[in-house]
Amino acid sequence: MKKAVSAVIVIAIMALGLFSMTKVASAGDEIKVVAVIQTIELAKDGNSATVVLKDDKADKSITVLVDDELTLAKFKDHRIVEGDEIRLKYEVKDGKNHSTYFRKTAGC
Amino acid sequence: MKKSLTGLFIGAALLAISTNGMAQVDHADMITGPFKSGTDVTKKCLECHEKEAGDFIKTSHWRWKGPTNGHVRGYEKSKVEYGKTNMLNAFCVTVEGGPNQEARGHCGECHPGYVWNQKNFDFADKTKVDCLVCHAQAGDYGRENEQISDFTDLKKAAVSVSVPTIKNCGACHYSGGGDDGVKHGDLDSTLNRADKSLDVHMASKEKGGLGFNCQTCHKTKDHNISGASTMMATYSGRVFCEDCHSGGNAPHQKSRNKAILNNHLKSVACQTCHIPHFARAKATRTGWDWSTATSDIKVPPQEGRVAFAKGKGTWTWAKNVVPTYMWYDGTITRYMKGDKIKDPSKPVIMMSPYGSINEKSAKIYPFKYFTGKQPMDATYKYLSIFQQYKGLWDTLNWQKSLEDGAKGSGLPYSGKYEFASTISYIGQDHMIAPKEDALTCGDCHMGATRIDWKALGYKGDPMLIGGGRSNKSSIAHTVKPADSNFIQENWVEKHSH
Repeated sequence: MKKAVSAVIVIAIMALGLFSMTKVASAGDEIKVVAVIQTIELAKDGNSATVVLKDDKADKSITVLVDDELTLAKFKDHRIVEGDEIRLKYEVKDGKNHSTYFRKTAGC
Repeated sequence: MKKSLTGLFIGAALLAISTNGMAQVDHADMITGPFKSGTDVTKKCLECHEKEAGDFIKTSHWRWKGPTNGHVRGYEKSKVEYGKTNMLNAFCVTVEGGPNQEARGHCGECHPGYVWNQKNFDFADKTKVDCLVCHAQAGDYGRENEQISDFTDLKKAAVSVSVPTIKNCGACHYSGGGDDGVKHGDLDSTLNRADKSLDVHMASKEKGGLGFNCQTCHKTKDHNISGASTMMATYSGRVFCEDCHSGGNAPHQKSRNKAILNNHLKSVACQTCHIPHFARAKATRTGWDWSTATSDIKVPPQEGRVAFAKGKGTWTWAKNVVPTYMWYDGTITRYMKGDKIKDPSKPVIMMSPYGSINEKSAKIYPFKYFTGKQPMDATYKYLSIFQQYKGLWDTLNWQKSLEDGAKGSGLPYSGKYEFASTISYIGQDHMIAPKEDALTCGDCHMGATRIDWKALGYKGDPMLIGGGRSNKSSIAHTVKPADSNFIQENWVEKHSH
């Protein structure tokens, strides 16, 4: 009886774990946050940038990889600079945060 | 006894609510949502706040115009109301561009309403008031592309309403001119995280400041927020340092140089010594040359900020800037729509403080000196109105954007344009430094170059040659309507009826 109960508990825990993993993956499809840029580091080839932003509400830093041409151009000519507040959408792929939307909250 | 105690508690609670307004009111139980639009939220707000909305729609924040109340020289008797809606500046120039004033769609993102993107907008419709832009503290409230951002959680925003914080006001006022810190010089988003060295009033208490909200100084009654700008004609009462720093809080009481410092107050505004530099944390724009727009030049960034855009022209930037000092009696001279330019080879003074050494009501104040170059009608000799948003920025076609600007504004375009140089003097009132960083004698006197004494009408440094305002010369630095290189024909006044 004890064994059967243990087995049921183990299966329940595994199922819960699987469910929550699936949940994380789907929730991670697109995450939205409004955050302030702390640093922008352009790759040497200029084809990507690593940006660290501070989410004040959650009091945590987020590091995202940006590789869309328009945003990279804005980094290069300083239309977007450190200190700017950003509306950011990103996806988690291979353990990295990939930006899918990167816009300033203010300005033309 | 119990009853009287309960009464006392209720009384105290009511007093707290009445003195602190909505800051003390938790709206969570009153607002259930969900909301599909901003107007839906406003309708909910109106169930309790009909009067507040009624008050708000009378203000210049809502109407983008108002009475000048003697603020603009030459317009003292004017009955026409002026404001962002019908004035020009040296930044994005105007909100009137486009056959149906489509430029408002972008400029109007900072209008607290849903959504002023064309010429016609029902200013009497209270359900169009955007309560959240000033009052929401959560839910990532914001508008972009003429609608509420898809980052916004409307219910969360609606539940979070409180008295406005500096971040609420800053959402628009930090970004005047089109980006963070562009226009003002003394207002940018660094104030949201300021420490005491940046602003003794607005820095949080945790960072050594006083934790002021904007309305601590900009006293507000019935949603009418006090304040005056050297850029705007509309006037809702000035804010003075002396509103707080007087009587028992009078300045310099503990200073060993109290008498000397207080003697300066007859001629020198508090801001002059207590804002030694502006744009101390982030560069501000100091020039905008529209004449290079549509060209293919390359301009390297300045002070870490973009210095050219093909649709907008060339920009200059500066950080930690020494102000320009001028006499100011609280009134301004202002270029208005349709004013004719006397000599296009000389700069047009877009906005300038009025005052001189000869006027006892004037004091020396700090200003940001801003240079512009913007289109002028080559035949009619006035500054042109053009459509930038959904116009020049996309088409790169000056001729078309000027034609469409004329259609929306009603200011005729002859078909020929050139570029006129402009100068603006923009008042500096924020980013008050700690007293230990204020200017000292040697910053202005004894050979220092910070202040051009002769330009201010003195014969020289009054500390060296003696005298002060009694030792006045005939030179006055003030810009009067007569010498501001434009003829005020009150075009709007003549044609707006």
